[in-house]
Amino acid sequence: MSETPWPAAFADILARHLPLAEGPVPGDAALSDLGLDSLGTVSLVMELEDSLDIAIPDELLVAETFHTAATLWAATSDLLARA
Amino acid sequence: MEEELASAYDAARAVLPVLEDQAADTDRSAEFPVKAVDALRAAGLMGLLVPVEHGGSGGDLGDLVAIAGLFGSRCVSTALIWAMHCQQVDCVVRFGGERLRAGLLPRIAAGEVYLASVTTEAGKGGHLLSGDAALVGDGDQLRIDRQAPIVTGGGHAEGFLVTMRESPDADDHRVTLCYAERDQLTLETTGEWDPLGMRGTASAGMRLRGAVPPHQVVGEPGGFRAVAVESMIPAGHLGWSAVWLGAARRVLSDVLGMVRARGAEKVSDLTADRLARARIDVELVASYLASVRDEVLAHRRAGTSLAGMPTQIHLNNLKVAASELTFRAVDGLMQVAGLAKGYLRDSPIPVERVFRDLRSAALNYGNDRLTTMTGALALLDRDVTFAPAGLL
Repeated sequence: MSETPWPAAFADILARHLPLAEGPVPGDAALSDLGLDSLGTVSLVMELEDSLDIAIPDELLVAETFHTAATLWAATSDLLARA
Repeated sequence: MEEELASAYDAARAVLPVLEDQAADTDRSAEFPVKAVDALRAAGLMGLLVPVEHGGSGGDLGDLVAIAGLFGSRCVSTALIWAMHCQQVDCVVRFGGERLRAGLLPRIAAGEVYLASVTTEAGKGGHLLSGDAALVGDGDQLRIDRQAPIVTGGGHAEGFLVTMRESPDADDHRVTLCYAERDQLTLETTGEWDPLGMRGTASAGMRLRGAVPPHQVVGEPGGFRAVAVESMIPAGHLGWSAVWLGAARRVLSDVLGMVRARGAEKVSDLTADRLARARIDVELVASYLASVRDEVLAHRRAGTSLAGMPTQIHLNNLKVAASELTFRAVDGLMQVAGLAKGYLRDSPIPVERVFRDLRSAALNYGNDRLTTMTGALALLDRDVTFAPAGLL
């Protein structure tokens, strides 16, 4: 198991929205395969914004952003860096 | 327009009297409209969406919308059967493998194969994107054993597109769509079919058992979501809405004819208001249907996905709005037509039949499921994006 490049807070939030994930979420696994559906995406976005104190702009709310943990972390860390 | 497509439109217009003539009997008997569907088969219309190189008319979803509206004006059951067949064909055209396409599409175009859809399953509350019964690998075959509470036209289909859980170990969101020939299955009809409306769709429940080779999987194994988002849902919502709109428009037209036939007698303000309200509802559905149709066609031309939030919201809204507004229009028109012409089954205008037919529209993939989804999705589109201008 390789170490993940994101903080535990992000991993915890993510894991809560992936009903099918068992253990740490690999960076390259498709989130939809781990049970993230459209409604799950909505609550994931709201929790990320709330807990990490960021605002995810609408142009990032596309399938590419939520493809894998790595793509979602890339978008999130950009926003954190700008905050 | 290509020659093949132009003759499909001619054929569609030519077949309208056949649909019209059997509509009342089909409604009364609650039996599948064999004669009308045979006419569609013979006219080559089952292959509207089959590419020309496979013997079809090479039509797109815009052609489906146009012709479904014509058919809906004559017999809502036949129109829905045909539109749902085309919906299945679209899935095979876009997601079938080369071998399946080459073998199946020419037979669809020749009118030999009517495709029914098997997506309902007891216990999943009408959820399209999950499955319980699983495909079981058995040598080089995939075994199917599946119950479905509603299979439109199942008793008369030569082929079925069936959703199954990918494997016994797979999560219920890993759904595989596969094509099964009638003679690859043992079919058992379960339950009676005696509904309020849409009676000709003969949508009794079925148990399907059999096995298919892996090349009959449509899309990726476990990857039905993509087929649904890119093909089954858009083709379904566009086709259904067009059928319902065609039906409501026809009732409006008939009621206008009835009011005009009263002669020089002045139309009361109340009647005028009711006619206006029906006209508004029908116009709203027509223009929103055109807008969503163009959005889908533009995505397809550009090769871009329909999975974006705004497009998903628009497709859901179309289905909800079309089902509610067309029914409301016909309900109001029944008031104008009155007890004698509006409410009676043997009235010269089919207000009562279409009223019953359109009551199903909000239930045929339940609106409640769509609005709860849309409401949540809307939270992620604070800009309230209309059809993206850059796309059209």
